[in-house]
Amino acid sequence: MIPLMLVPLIVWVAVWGYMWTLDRKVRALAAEVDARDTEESDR
Amino acid sequence: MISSRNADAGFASSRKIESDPASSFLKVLLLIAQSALIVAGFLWLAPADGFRNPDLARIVVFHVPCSIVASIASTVATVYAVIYLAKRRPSDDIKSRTAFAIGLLLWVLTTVTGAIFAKVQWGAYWNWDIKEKSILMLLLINIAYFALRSAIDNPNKQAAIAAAYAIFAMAAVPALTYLLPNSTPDTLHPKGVITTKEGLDAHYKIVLWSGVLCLTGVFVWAMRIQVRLEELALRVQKSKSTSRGAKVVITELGP
Repeated sequence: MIPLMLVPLIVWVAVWGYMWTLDRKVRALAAEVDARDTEESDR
Repeated sequence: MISSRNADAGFASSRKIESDPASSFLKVLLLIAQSALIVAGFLWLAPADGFRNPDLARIVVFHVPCSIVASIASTVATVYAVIYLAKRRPSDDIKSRTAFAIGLLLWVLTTVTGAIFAKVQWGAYWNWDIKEKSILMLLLINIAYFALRSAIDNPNKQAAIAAAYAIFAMAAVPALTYLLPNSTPDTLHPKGVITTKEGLDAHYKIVLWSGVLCLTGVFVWAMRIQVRLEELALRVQKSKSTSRGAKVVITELGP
């Protein structure tokens, strides 16, 4: 059963890693857009 | 859905990312909890007696949570569709569409895990059982939602018609997952597994309901990421069109 168990386990860890990375990227992008909006409104 | 490539541009920035320790803790907890559930599902649970392959019958603790959380996603999609029809806010349409998309993915996962169970226990991946027919109809109804959206160009009209369709699609969920399959004794699926006390062993119940909780966490997280990404795209699009409009005004007013 252990080799079979590794299939969903590896898939889950990969999905979690992807979501974690994407989450950080989206937060960074939101910060970028906020900063750009602030700069534009200052002008 | 918007691809992660759109987000790459922002990640290149050296700007410090907002850190939220509580949210990060929950995400790490989700990783550990779901991993533990997978290990428990394969190694801790006793093989399910009464099945052709008792070892692999344990897939039920992954199959059923997918189906329950897919129903939750459909409900969330419908709630936001109703809110959109009442208030006409684009963000509610984004939330409804995102919940629908994740719901579709979960219905596909339910079908795949169910097909594996069917192959192992009943000898074929697809047996045209009443529940299999029902889920096929649900998949088609969910796919039709996106086909409908892609057929309408006007964004406001698209959102309004999709929201109305989402309400119809939600009505199909209890009818196709519960009422129709329970209306006939002619089914391969065991009945009352979730709804009766004797349906599952206590260990199975722990793993199954914890699985529902974890998968709901994954659904909420995935939805938040996608909604944030789409709202950002909408914001950038709006600010671009505003600045383009401003340029036109300046040109018209110029010498």
